[in-house]
Amino acid sequence: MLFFSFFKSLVGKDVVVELKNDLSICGTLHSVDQYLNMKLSDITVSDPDRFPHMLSVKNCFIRGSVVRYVQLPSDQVDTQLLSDSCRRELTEAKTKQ
Amino acid sequence: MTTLTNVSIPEEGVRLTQPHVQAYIGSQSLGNGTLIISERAVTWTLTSAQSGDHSAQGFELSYPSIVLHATSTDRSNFPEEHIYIVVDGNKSERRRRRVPLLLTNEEEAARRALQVESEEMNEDEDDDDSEAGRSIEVRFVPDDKSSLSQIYHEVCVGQELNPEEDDDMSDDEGLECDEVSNGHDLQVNGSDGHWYTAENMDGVELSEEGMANLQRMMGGRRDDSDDEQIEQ
Repeated sequence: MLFFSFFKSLVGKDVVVELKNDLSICGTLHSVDQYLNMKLSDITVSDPDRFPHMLSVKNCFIRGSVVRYVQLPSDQVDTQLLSDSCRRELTEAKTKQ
Repeated sequence: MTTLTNVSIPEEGVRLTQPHVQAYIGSQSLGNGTLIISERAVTWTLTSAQSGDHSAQGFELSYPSIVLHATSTDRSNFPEEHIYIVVDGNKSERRRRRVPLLLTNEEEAARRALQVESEEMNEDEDDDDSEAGRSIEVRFVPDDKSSLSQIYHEVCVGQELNPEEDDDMSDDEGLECDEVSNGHDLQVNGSDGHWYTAENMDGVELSEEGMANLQRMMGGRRDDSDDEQIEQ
């Protein structure tokens, strides 16, 4: 659940979500759920030629499983904290076995 | 030309039935019909071609095939406000191989019908790029514009009810991330279901032979250093 918590901390921040179909959507992270489904607001797309109708969309819901990458604002991410938390969660998962 | 197929009308888990909804695939109108959002899929059936109580002409979108959905309110690109959906045309095909769902025939037929459209859209893409899905744009234009927000919301709910199945991991490029996000998945991978690292080696259980080997190795090394053999 670490990444869920992590993404929750980014709500309200601007992100770029790159989908597995190569569509990149830039927008403000409105909300995220445990499957990393994401709602974005005030979106723009990087290649409107492929999806011209995305231009007339302001908000959207993205299925978590279609996301390839999420580009984050680097000044909003404490990478040290994130990697420490990641290790801690892995250790906890192991001790539960 | 799009061929609609016979789809079964969902009866269980129906969250919203919205009559008088125009469906578009790409830029092609399929006509007026009924949009049914159930917990299992998003189904649209043509009004004029009702073929029975339990089935009708139309098409069905499974939630895993819905890449994203949105409410489009800007009428500069399309004359009416509508629900805009991007569908992964490859998804239903891949799922068909793995899970024999009841709806796959319809999905497959719908996918094939939509292929022409998507080929036009993706013509500059390599065909052998299996990962980049054929994306299909679907639009639902309800007569009653006040239903837009509810349609949008119910598709969100449906998405949340239909996360990826566990066995989807095999071809999921986000494998590592998923493992981290679900600690228990760590157990499923690897030959015996455990990953050993420097941090948990203490808990390793060895067979008698393995233990003997280990003691010999460890013991031997210690003996060497204690015996001053190295120093000689």
